[in-house]
Amino acid sequence: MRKIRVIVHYNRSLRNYLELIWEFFINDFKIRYKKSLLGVLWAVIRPLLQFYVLYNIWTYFGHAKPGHAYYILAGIMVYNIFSETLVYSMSALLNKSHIILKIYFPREAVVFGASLVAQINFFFNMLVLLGLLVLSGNSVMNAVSFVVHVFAAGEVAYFGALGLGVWLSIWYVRFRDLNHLVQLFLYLLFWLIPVMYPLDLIKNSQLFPVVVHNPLTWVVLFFKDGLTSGHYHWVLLARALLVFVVIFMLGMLSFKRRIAYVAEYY
Amino acid sequence: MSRNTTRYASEEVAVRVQDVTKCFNIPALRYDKLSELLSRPWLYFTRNRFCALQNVSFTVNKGEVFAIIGPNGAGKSTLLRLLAKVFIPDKGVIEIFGKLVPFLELGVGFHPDLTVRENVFLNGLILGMTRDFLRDKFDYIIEFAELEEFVDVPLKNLSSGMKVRLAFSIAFLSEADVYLLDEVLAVGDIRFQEKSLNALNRLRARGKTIIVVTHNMDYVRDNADRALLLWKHKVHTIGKPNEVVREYYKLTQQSVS
Repeated sequence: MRKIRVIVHYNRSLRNYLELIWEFFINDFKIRYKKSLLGVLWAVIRPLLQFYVLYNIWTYFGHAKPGHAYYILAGIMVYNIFSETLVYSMSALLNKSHIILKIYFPREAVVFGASLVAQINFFFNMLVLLGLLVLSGNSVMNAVSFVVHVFAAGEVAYFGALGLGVWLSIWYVRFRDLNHLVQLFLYLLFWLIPVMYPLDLIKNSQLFPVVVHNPLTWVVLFFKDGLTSGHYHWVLLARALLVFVVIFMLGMLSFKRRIAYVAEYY
Repeated sequence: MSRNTTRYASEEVAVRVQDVTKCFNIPALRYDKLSELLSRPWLYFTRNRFCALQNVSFTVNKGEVFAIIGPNGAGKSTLLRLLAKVFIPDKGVIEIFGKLVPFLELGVGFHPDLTVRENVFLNGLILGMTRDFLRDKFDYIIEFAELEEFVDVPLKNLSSGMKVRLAFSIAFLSEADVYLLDEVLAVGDIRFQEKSLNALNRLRARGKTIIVVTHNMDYVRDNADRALLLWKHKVHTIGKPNEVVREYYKLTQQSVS
C-alpha cells in the first residue's frame, strides 16, 4: 500500500456524490443528443433495423424458427446495452480530461454517470420490445413478464460491462489503441453469443467452448425459452452475475489503485 | 518550516505542505510520430525525469491571504495542482484542514453546449455543493455575474468575460474554507476586477483562507499577508510580501545580467 500523501480534513457529502453522478449522466445524455434531429428515437430505430436485416437473412437460410424472433431481438438489445456501457464508461475519463486536470472530485462519478446513458437507450429498447410483443398478438401478461426478465438480464450485462469499463477507463487514458481493440472485441463478441444462431448449430465448431463459457451467453440463454415455454434459466443468470461481480470488484480495485495518478497519464 | 509547524496548533493551520517533491517522467520520444519510433525504437522506453518541485515546505494559516509568486516554470502550477489534489506528491505530505475550492482555471467543467443554468449546477456540484444549496443561491449567482438575460442561453454564445464572471460567482458562493486562485484577478473588465477583489476581501473578512498565484505584484504588496517565492523548483523565501517581492525583483535582475 502506498503512503497517503494528501490528507484532506473534509468529506464531500454522500448526497453531493450521488448528485454528481446524476449530473454527469444527465449532461452526457443532453450533449449526446444536442444537435441530433431524431434524438433518442435512434434508440428505437437502431435495434429495429438491426433486427429486420439480421432476422430476414437468417430466416432465409432457414436457421431461425419464427418463434425465436423475439429472442433474437431481445438478445440484440442485451448485447447493445453491454457494448454501449463498455464504450461509454471506458471513454469517460478521457472525455472529461478538461475537468479532471483541474479539480479533484471522486473520479468514478464520471465513469458511472457516462455508463448510465446506455440505460436510457436500453429503456427505450424495452418499450419497443414490449410494443412489438403486444402488437403481434401475445397476451399482455406474457409480454410484460418476458420484458421484465429481459430487463433483468440487461441489467446484469450492464453491470459486467461497467466492471470492464471502470477497469479499462484508466488504461484508455494511456493507451488509445484500446479503442480499436475494444471495437474489435465487441464485434467478435456479438458472434460469440448464441443470438443470431442456435447453440446446437455450432456444436462441432472449434469456437463452441468459447461460446459456451462466455458469461454473456448465459445472460441471453437465461431468457431464450421464456416466451415459448415460460421457463427462465435463473441458474445461468446467477452464474453470470457472479462472474460480473468479480470482474466489477477487480475493476474497482485496479481503478482505486491508479486513479490518484490519472492526471499524469494524459 | 519545522518551526512553523510546531508554532501553530492545527486549528490555526489551513494548509500544511511538508517536504513535498513532485517529479514527472517525460517520454523522450514523441510517440505520435511513427517514423521516429521506427528509427530510434529504444527511445520508446526512455523517460526524462523532471522535478517540478523539490522539497517544498510551507504552512498557510487560517484566515490568511497567502501569495505564491515566481517566474514561469518555477513550479507554481504544479504546486497548485498538488494542493487541488489533481497530482499526488512523490515525497512528503500535504495536509488540508477543511474544504478547499480550487480555481485553477475559471469555469472548471463548463460545457459550451449547455446553458448557463445547466453549467451552474454542473460546476457547483463538482465544487462540492448540493443541488438544493445551488437552487437557493442560483438567483444570487446569476445576479452577481450580471447574466440575468442569459440564463437559458448556451454557454458558447457568451463572451469570454461573461464566462469568467459566471465562474467567479459560483466559486465565490461555494462556502469553502480555503480558496485556491490562479491568476483569476487578471480577468474581466476593470469594473468586474474591482467587484471580484471586493468579493475576495469579504471572504477574507469572514476568516476564509486564500491562496493566490499571481504575477500582479501590486496585488501581492497590497493584499497578501505573506508571500512565498518559488525559484527554480524550490522555496526561496517566505515572508512579508514587500520583502519577498523585492527579493523576486533582485533575483530576476541578477539572472538577466
